[in-house]
Amino acid sequence: MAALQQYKCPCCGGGIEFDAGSQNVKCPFCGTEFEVDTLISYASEIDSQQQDDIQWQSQPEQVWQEGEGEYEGLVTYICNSCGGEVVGDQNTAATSCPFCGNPVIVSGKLSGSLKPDYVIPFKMNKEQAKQALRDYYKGKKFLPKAFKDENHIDEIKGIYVPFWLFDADANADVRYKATTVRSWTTGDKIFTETSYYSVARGGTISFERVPVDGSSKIDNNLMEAIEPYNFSEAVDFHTAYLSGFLADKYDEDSTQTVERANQRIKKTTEDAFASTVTGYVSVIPEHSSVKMDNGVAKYALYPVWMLNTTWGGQSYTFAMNGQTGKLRGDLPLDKGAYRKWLFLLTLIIGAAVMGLTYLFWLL
Amino acid sequence: MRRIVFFIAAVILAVSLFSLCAFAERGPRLVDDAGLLDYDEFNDLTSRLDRISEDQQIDVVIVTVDSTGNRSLEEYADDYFDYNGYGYGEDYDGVILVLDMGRRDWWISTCGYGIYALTDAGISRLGDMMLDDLRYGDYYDAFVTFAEGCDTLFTRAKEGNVYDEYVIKYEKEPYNVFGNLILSLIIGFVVALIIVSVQKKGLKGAVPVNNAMNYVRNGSMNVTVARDLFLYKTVTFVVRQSSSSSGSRSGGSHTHTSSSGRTHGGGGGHF
Repeated sequence: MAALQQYKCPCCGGGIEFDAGSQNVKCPFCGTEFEVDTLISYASEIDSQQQDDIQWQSQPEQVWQEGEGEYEGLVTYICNSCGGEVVGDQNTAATSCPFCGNPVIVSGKLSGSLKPDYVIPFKMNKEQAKQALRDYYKGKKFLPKAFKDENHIDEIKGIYVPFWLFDADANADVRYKATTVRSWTTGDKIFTETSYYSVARGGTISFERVPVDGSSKIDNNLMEAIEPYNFSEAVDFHTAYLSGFLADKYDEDSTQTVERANQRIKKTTEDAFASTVTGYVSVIPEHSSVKMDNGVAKYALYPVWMLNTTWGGQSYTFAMNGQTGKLRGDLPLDKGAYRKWLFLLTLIIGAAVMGLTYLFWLL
Repeated sequence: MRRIVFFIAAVILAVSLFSLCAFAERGPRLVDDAGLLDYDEFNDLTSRLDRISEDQQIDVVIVTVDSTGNRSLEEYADDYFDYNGYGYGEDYDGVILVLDMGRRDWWISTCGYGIYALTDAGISRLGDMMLDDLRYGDYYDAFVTFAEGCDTLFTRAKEGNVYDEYVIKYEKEPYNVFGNLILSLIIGFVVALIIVSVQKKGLKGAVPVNNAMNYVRNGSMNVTVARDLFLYKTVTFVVRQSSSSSGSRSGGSHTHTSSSGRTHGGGGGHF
């Protein structure tokens, strides 16, 4: 059952966190650094001593869940460090204790069939995320100045977002109608010869680990916008990587999300085969069939920094790829600046065009 | 007897010499044989023609006749100019307008510098300008138009700005300020809209990726079917437009040789 797991510093007993810079676990209190593997073996020894506690701690959870309707979906845990109540929703897998601030991991949410296969550890830290947001504002002409100036980040969270990774072998069978055009002149006649071809392409193409966000709370478009991740840096999952960050369990399973992966696979398959049709003036697809054979979906946690700001009574969410630092998010439009520029540019370009027509007339 | 023969020969020679000399004797610059002008108009026009001719050092002559006999109007105009001593300098610079009231035709014949200054395009422009007045019998107005027109064209030619075909195209259609302004603003608006839309689009960050390009397994693409089957072909043709390419500096004056052996340019029409 669900229980909290905390990694304690073997040196001072403080709650320790994964450090994106050194890719090790580091104690924020005494500064001691450990390799992840060292900590895992140390923690497993301690775990065996705490079995009883875990049984006991699972009790209050039941009470809460059977309680009032408005609390439905909320789950409480007892912090191992201070005994305070930690409240999370059903999908919370890693968070921090609101009382003592120690990072806690709800181990039950990540065990058994719910256990991720891989995790890509954070490489970017909080400061880099803030800097990335400032850089993101640059060069955006229609971003309201006030938004830039008054901007303060309400909340910044490092989240391990659950992703489903789909492998697929696509089998394509596409037919196009294509034309070539030849032109020549005889006497005062210009001849145009159009030749029509039926072009068929077929074959296979394989895809690896097409990711689809498995959390309904997180905007899928935003997650696609900060792709891609470099999977070669992924490691086998262990809860130790989660320490100090937030983590969610998936709430959309692989059968619900496979459709999105297949849409993307189909598009790329069609593009890839269309790119082999060369030497024609026009190529129009007439028939396209892409059969997909999806393998077993893998479950992985990918690192994302989520930044929230509020401006003009509206909240804006930005996501940064915790591995590559790619940051994306929707920004507000300065309608005044937009109209001003549209008007000014119309005048400037209009004047330039008019100058050109006059010059042309003079010649 | 021999003396008589010699005398006759001498007389014939003298007459023929005299007739050559007659080339040099300049006739009046306005000859209204058809009687189209009243007394005041005649005097006014004569003084205009004299003034323009002397200022420009190019003869401007107007002749009206009821009939050209069995000669064509072109021959008549050329001969009238050649045998009545018109033309300045060794090239006989001048221009003559002849109105044949019998057939209601007009002809402008040019000579010397007149050929250079009054191109085919210039002559037809003068004809266009005179046409309405000629039709409605306002001959005086038509002749003034002709005289002043020649004056203007000579001045332009001397400034190195000969009125010719490539000039006409633009002078006939003045720069359309309003039309071009509207067109330019429309183009400006469309281009501006594209530019600001690109900037605006930059604010949208949560854009889904609709392909899986990044996830293709390296070298996994395997094309097993690649058939390019020819079906049929169609052939169409268009007739090439005879290229009256704009800006080509064709034009100038077509010339011919008159009965006297001089070179003339010219052109005319019906009214």
